[in-house]
Amino acid sequence: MTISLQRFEQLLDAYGASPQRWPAHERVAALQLLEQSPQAVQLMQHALWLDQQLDQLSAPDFLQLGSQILQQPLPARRKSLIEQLLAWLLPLQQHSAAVFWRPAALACVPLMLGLVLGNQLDFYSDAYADELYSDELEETELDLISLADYSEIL
Amino acid sequence: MTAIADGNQRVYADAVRQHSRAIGFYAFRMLGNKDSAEDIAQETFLRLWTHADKWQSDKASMSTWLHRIAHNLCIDSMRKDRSSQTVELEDEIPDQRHDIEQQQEWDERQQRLQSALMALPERQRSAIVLTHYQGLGNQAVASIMDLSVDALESLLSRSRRALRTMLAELQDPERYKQTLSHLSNDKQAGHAGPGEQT
Repeated sequence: MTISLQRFEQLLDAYGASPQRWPAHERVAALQLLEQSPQAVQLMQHALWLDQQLDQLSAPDFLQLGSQILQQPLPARRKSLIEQLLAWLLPLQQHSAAVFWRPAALACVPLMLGLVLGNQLDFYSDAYADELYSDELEETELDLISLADYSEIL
Repeated sequence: MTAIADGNQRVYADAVRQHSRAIGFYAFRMLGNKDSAEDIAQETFLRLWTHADKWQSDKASMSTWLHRIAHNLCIDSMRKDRSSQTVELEDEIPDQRHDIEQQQEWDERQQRLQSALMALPERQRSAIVLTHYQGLGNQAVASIMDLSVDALESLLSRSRRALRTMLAELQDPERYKQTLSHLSNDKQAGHAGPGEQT
């Protein structure tokens, strides 16, 4: 791969004179151009000046910042319902009996729910049968009345 | 990071020790103020603790993710409080020169360098700080700033050009003051800055 002098200038304009800051895939080609082209060397020196200026800017050392951050109290983490359920279901203590009985208990929940619902909902209760029977009687009675009416007209 | 999301404070403490100074440096270069930089760093790590589950390891390294949080916090802070551009260097830079005259000269130079950096529009400043001072790669910086690599290069070029102009004028204080004042007027008028496109 090779790069043009124009691209080399763009690299210097954007990233400065330190090859470490150049894009990795263009670095080797840019260094090769630098070895071959006196114009590239001149451009490099121009870019180096700004880097040297910028490097002079100092900053506080922030040596205590890490411990300051660690001293501040951390807020309680709010877990979602699913996370809470999973944490209860699969406790971290591997040797705890809860590892076995909790999933088993959870698996029994649908079964228990089915039994309770089955007992509560009686689809063939006497009241329902009576209701059905009274509806049938009513219909029969209506049919008879209507037949009687027709016979009178005829 | 999964461990931090699970509430592991030991792993969180390791992350703080490993990255806190870098985040402090970044915030300081952006805000020019040590106290504000420390506040930003503290808030960044608080967000690491509370939002660790949102980090996607396939998209960004932890350093990149933390810089992204800090970048957004710095931009918010600068927009809320323009006074953050006040440069406070006197008590913060460790003494490196003992000779008073040299010290004064050094302080003055630091002040001007910092002022030149602070005179850049926010995004140009962030781009130059992330690449030059934080040593992050172009892909990482582009990801932090939500830019394409091409757009980042363009932003960096404008940033370096503006800095070159200002720093060249360090030799000529009057011309330097005029440039700073021109940049400051541009910002107040709502312009994006020298060559900055929004």
